[in-house]
Amino acid sequence: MKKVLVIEDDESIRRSVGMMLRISGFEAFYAENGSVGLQLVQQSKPDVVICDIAMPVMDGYKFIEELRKIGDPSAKIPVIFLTAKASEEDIQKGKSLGVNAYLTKPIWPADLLKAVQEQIGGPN
Amino acid sequence: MTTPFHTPEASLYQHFIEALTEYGVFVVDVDGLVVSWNAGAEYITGVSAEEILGKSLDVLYIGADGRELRSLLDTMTREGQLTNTLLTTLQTQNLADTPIYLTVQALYVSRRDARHHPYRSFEGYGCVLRHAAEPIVPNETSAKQTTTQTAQQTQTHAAAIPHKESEGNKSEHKESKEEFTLEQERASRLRVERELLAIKNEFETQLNQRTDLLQEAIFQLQEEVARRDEVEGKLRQRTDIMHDFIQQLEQEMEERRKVEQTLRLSEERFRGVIERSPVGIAVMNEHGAFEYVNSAFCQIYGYTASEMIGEQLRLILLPHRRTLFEQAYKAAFQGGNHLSGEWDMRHKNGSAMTVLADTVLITSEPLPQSSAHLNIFALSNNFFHGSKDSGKSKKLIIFALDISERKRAENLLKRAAVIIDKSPAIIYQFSNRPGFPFEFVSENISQFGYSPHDITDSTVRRDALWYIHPHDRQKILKSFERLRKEPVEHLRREYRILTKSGEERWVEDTIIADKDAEGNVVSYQGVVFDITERKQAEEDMSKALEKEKELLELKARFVTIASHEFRTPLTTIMLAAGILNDFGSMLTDEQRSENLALIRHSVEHITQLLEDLLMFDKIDPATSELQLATLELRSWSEEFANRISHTMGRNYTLQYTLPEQPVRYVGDERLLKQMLERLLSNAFKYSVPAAEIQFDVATDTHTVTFTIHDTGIGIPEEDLHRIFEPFHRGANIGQIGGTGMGLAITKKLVELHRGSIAVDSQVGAGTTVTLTLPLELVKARQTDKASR
Repeated sequence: MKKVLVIEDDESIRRSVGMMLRISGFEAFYAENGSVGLQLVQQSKPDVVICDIAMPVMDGYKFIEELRKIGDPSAKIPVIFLTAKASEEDIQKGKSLGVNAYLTKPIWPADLLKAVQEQIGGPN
Repeated sequence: MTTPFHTPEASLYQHFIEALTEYGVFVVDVDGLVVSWNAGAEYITGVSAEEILGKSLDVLYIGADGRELRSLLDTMTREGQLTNTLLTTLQTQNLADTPIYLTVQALYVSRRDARHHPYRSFEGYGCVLRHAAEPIVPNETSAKQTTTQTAQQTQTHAAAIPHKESEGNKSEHKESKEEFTLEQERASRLRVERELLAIKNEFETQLNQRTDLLQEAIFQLQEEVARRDEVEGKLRQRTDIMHDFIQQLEQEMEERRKVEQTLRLSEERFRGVIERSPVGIAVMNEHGAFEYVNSAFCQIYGYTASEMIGEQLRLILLPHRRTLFEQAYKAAFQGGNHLSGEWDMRHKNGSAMTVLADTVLITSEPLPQSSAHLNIFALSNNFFHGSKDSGKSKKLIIFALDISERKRAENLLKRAAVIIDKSPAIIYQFSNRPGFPFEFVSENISQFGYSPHDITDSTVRRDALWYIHPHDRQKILKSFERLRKEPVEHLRREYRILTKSGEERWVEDTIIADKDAEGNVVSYQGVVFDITERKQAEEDMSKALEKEKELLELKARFVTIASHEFRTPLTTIMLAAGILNDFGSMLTDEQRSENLALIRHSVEHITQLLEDLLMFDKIDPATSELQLATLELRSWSEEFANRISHTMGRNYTLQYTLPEQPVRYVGDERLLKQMLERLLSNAFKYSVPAAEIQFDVATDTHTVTFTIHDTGIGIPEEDLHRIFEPFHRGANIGQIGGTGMGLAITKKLVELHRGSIAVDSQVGAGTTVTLTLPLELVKARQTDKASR
């Protein structure tokens, strides 16, 4: 069963996304900011990361920057930004940092699921 | 014996010579007469001094011929030989046929007055006489020391001797005797030569001294000659000057004769000049009547000469000026200058006009004709008094010039100057010369506290722009730099002037080139306007625009943040709705109700967000109206605290303190409640259940202070200064919900109430919020307005 790490400071969104992933057959676990997210990447080796940008302590930009610097295969984990930041400038910045997909809030759960499947295929 | 030596040593030497017996020493003068004869000579020859002194040497040749000696002396004299030695025989009592050596030395003796006649005089011969047979041991050392010349001489004599020998005896004995004699002779000769050499050296020394003296004398003579030349030169110069002077005198006399003639000739012309002079000239007598008027004078007043001559002065006086003028006229006759100046006079046609007058008082007393200058006075004297008039009467000559036109122009200019001075525009002019010196500045420069002189006194140099604001001096210097390079038609500048009191004033300064007929820029004329008010208005407008821009930017940022805040709950709604729609059949009942709850909460959150935003937008400290009411704060606070305590439930404890006495409060009760509710709700929200919240109400004379203290999570330091910004929430809030608008709204309400709010907090320890409001809002607002 493939693992998805959801980094999101808003609890409601975290719970909704998690519910959708589990129903679809993925294993989902959470972090409330980038800093916690980095620790979980090392511990649980997720297959994909869904990450918000605007978060306290460590934001999404900083998270992907740090992730890509890690000296083991986890640096290559695909990252999907799911953010309220919808400007062209933000999208460009995300792409320059090596994000694999950029999704803007609000989003229909089927679209998010499709983006996850594009990165890692089905749940098994 | 005569000797040039006068020293004691010389005298001693003389005695020695005289007493010497081995050698006969004598002196023969130029005439061949013996002048000295020593003891040795007497001894050898047997001839006493008495016998020979003053006589010829012939005495020594008794019965024989003295030609040999004579011819020797002649040869020496002729050839200038200084010394010679002769081996001969004398025929005296003691010396009959006895061979002797006679050494002769020519004597040159200096005269006593040699200083003035420095030449040597040949005086005679010194002779040394000795027996040729007298043995003399030759001194080899001394022989070696003799000079080459001496040796040569000796050889010559040695060569001569055999000749004599051949003439002499032929026996061997005689030969050996002769050899001995020859030796003796040579030694003796050497000695004599040495002595003579010493004498010669002494003479040479003397000669050198004399030569030096002679040179000195020549030098002195030369100096004297030079002095004489100088004196002669001066004399010649003086003679020349004298000559020039006489010539000049003659020239001057000639010129004077010419001048006098010219003056005589020009008397007629002078009369013509006076008549035709553009200046009006009149001759007045003591009684105030015209005696003479020239045509210009007539023209000024509109009369003919015949109409004026003989008439009284009042003919040309304005009635109201008469007394004053007549007084001045009388004073002028006393030699005063009272008539000089501008006078209002009367024309024949009755109109008034301005005349510039000057006077000269003339008396008829004859003047000394000592110079050409004085002749002019004499001439005028004759003219104005008449040559026949020899009385001592005084005449007053009046010179007059009609300056009415000029006066009118001046008045016009004055009026123009007044107009300029009353206008706000300052007019000035500066020359297009190096340094651009000011030529004129209008009086209304006084609006900046200066006099025109203050400005015109300075030229446009680096240190001379003192009246320009230091920040603008560079700019002005540059504009002058431009003028220096190339004249310009006109130039407009804006800069700040420093007034005399140091105040800054903005001016607009436009300069226009003033050209001469050839188009060269002679000067620049400038107009300066005070544009301080306009500048101020411009500045105010630009500030207002800046503020407007800032507000717009703030609004744009606010909208961006707000849209983000809406996206979050909308995302939750969309996700939950999507799950219900797409995965509905796979959901448990619990999951379904959870999604519905998420939707409901999110909608509530959005509603709250909207309300807060509307509230935030509505409060404007400048325009918002307050619903003012009077209440008693002590009981109101108690009631409020109890109600809050009840609402919050049993999980929390609210402790409060109140003012001791009832307090009158005038304000908007609804807004006061809202501020306190928001602050207290935060205190509860960020504290753990069962925590104690402290609420204190304290009053001052004019203010009330509410202090809310909790022991909750606190606010991180980095968030503390941003806590009043819309949507800003502390990093440590975790899952505690909220819009981030509470404190922003509260802050706006506090401002509306002219109060203040402060937050003191420490993470983990708790937060203290202090809210201070005026007790009577109306008064606070009035004071506020007054102070604006």
